[in-house]
Amino acid sequence: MMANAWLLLTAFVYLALLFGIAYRTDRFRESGKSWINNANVYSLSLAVYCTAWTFYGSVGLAASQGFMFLPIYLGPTLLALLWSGVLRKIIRIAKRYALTSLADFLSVRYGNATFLGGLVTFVAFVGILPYISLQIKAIGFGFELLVEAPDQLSTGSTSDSTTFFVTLVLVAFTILFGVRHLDATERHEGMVAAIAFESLIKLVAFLACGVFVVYGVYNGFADLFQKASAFPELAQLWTLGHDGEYEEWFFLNLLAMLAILLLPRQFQVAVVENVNERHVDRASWLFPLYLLLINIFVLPIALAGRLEFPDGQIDADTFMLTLPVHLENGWIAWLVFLGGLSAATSMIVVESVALSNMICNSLVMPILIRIPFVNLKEGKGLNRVLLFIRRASVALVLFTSYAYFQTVSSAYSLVSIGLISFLAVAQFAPALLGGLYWRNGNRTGALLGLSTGFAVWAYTLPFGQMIQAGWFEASLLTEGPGGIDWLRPIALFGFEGAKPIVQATFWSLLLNTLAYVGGSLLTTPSRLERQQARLFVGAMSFSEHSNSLQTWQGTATPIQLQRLLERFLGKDHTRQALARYATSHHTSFADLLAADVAEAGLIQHTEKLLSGSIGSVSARIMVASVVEEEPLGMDAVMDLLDATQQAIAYGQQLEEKSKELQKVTDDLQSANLRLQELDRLKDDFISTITHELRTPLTSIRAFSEILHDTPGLPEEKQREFLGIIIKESERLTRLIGQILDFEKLESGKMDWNPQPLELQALCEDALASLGQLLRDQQIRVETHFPETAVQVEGDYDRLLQVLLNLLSNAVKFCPKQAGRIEVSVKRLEEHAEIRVKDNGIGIPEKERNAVFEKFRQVQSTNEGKPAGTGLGLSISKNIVEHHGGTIGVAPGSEYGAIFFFTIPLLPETPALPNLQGGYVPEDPDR
Amino acid sequence: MRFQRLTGMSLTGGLVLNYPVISVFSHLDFSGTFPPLYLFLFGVWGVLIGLTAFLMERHGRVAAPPEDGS
Repeated sequence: MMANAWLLLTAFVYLALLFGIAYRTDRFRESGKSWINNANVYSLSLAVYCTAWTFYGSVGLAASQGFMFLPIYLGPTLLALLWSGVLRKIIRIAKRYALTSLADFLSVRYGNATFLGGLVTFVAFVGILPYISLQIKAIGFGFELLVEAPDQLSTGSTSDSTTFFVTLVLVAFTILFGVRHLDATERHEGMVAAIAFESLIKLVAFLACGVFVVYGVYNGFADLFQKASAFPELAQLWTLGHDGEYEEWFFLNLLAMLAILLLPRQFQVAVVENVNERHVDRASWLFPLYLLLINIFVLPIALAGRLEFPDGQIDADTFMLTLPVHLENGWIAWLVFLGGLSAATSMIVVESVALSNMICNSLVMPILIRIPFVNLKEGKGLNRVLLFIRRASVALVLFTSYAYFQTVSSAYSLVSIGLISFLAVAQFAPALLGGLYWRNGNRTGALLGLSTGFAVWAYTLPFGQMIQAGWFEASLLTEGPGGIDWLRPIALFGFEGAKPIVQATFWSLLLNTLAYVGGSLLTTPSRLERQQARLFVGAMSFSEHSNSLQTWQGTATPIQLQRLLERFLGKDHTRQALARYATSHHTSFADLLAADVAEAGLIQHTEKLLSGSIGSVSARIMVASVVEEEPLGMDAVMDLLDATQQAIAYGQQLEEKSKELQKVTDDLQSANLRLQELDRLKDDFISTITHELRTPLTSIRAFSEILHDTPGLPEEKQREFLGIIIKESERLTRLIGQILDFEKLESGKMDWNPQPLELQALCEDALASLGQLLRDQQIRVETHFPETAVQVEGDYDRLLQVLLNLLSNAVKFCPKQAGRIEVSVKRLEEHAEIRVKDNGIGIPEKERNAVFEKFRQVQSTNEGKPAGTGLGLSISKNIVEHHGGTIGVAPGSEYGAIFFFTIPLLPETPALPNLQGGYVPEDPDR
Repeated sequence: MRFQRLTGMSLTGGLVLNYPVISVFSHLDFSGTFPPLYLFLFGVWGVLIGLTAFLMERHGRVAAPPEDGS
């Protein structure tokens, strides 16, 4: 067996080596590089999860309950699969808000809830004590076994003096290691590098011991299992299902899943010390692989221990050490001792640093900052105060753990002690997970849930243990307080038959969750809470590298900020931090301080630096004491309104423009349609005109040829043919005249010669010029004129043309010998109306509008095509409309057609009769 | 998509590594080197790790990020 002194020496050399690693890493970092900016180092540092519990306790548990040690590592594996979603979200939020602990995280999530942060700290502190006491116990029996009484292979109990000595060394070690100075960012790269190294040592030591036992002592796994299977009580260890083990299995899985996320030291290494959130992806399989490797030999070593120590005198928790000692392999024993030391110290250092950070930032500072006479805002050298608070916290944590070990937990196995802590931190789960994914989770819910869960935990586990340790009457366990059976801590609400950890897990997490959800749903959160909830739940929509705290609406001088930082960080660190900031913003340190007003980025940076030292809530208060926050003044509000209105006006302009464009487009479209229509009309016009012109020309030519080719034609015939030729020539002339008229009208080139005229006279003239035709056709004409003259203004010739047109149409359609035409003039309100009525074939109703179109002729199947150009009515319509009147076919006539047109009366018409004298109409119309 | 796959794997793993599936493998007799439950638990565990590693590392290696300037 190795010399005691030599073993002690190697232990201290090993600790010194860890210091060296940490120191080198910190120096290296100051030169701007980082050793821990590496996914593999990150994964190894997460293995701080494997403590003395894993290193010694797993074997201890496996020796009595077989695979029941495994859920503690399966749970984290199942959760690690989800890290790329859950953990990355937490990291992103923590980086955004410079959050340095779980307490910080929850208090900021629930609207700067200082009290909640304090409660989280308290729960974590109380909950973790058993866990740290476990480590002290493990290091203690390690020393005891190897240094003080190596020959006795005792039962694993340790003397008070050893553990007290161990605790003292650990306090010094932790303070030197983790709280040597204040780091503005609360990141400890040196510490992370050292624990990553320790993780390697743990794994190597465990695997070495395993290989030694399985292959050195036995001939491989098969041999070991075969030998063990000879003993039924050992073979049982590789089966499950005894005594409610499946329920326990499930709950331990659940607990470990939550613990890997919520243990203060896991939060520290996984979130706070994370350099790059992408490292999480690698860790989500490398860390489970580490867990798998370190667990491969657990059951074999436990079986070997049971085989080697069949009398059960040796505490199974010490098999890792006692086996190599018993088998007289000093090197393996030494390596295992170092591995156990690594496991315990890495846990203690990180856990204490995380807890002291929480105690300082979330418990002590919020109180100090509110005590007026402490006057932190003016004090000097606050960095020393902070450092003192943290170091004192470390000592407090470790000595309280020592006390817990002495009084309560020394009688329990390592695993059962550790599980108590797992359940304590699991109480943060509803508030944390709800805070990440449920927008309606609020502060009241979080406070209610956490306190409910913590109360149930404290009552069922530590209290139950204290009763068993003899602090309280044993009847509390067997009969319940005051004889109330269902309040027994080991069978709360009548949950009988399950192990304490199972029923405690069930009740505490159930009631915690119910209280959280109920409290959140029944109360209304403040505006700040709602805002934070929105930011946290939607965190993944922000960029990975974005960095925005709440912005400051205010001003401060750089000197003020520097002084503020110096009070908490000390002169040197402040100078370094600001110089780094200046470099990264491409300016010099001197220029940075020389500015009259600090830029917003510097104020935010100051807040971030302070967050690391005193917590985010306190940091905000301290920065606010320096920064003169400008209230959002009337000017700013008006500016804002102005900008908004400009935007609105601009939008409206755009809208109008687009409407105009739409209108222009519509116009163009209809113009295009109209053009197409006109084009079609023009084609029609030309083809019709050609046709119309050819008809008389054809007959003129035909008769001329007959006359020319037939010399002996009787004179009578010759005259008849010549008459036709003349008539057709006249028709042709008339046609061309009408076309010219029409063209003039259409193109607006017609010369108008307006003059006052009397309608009766106009009608008389028209009838007179048709007199011969009427007589030839034996058509009777009736006229109905008012007695007074109806005066209008118009072009005499054109209006005469209209009238002639209508009359000749009437003549055309009148039956021979029985024709009858009525012409009437009537005075309407502002117009005079002239009607021409005949008793001809009439006009079908559907044709009444169409007759005024060009070349439209009323077809009659009986009588064939009537003579005429088809332009007459169209020209008439144009003329009447030019005079401001209307023309149409009156409805209602059974047979015969009634054409009418109106012409505006001259305004002075009523006065005319007097001027002309002689006519004094009693009835002006009749 | 990757996260959904991982979630599915996590849930499946949780189901397979619990009662009643594990009870199927929980018996004393074994032929070969390892007890059946030992093989099953570590086997499923290893498969989960392997699949995760495949999903995580398939998209190229983790790029070295810039050093945190703060």
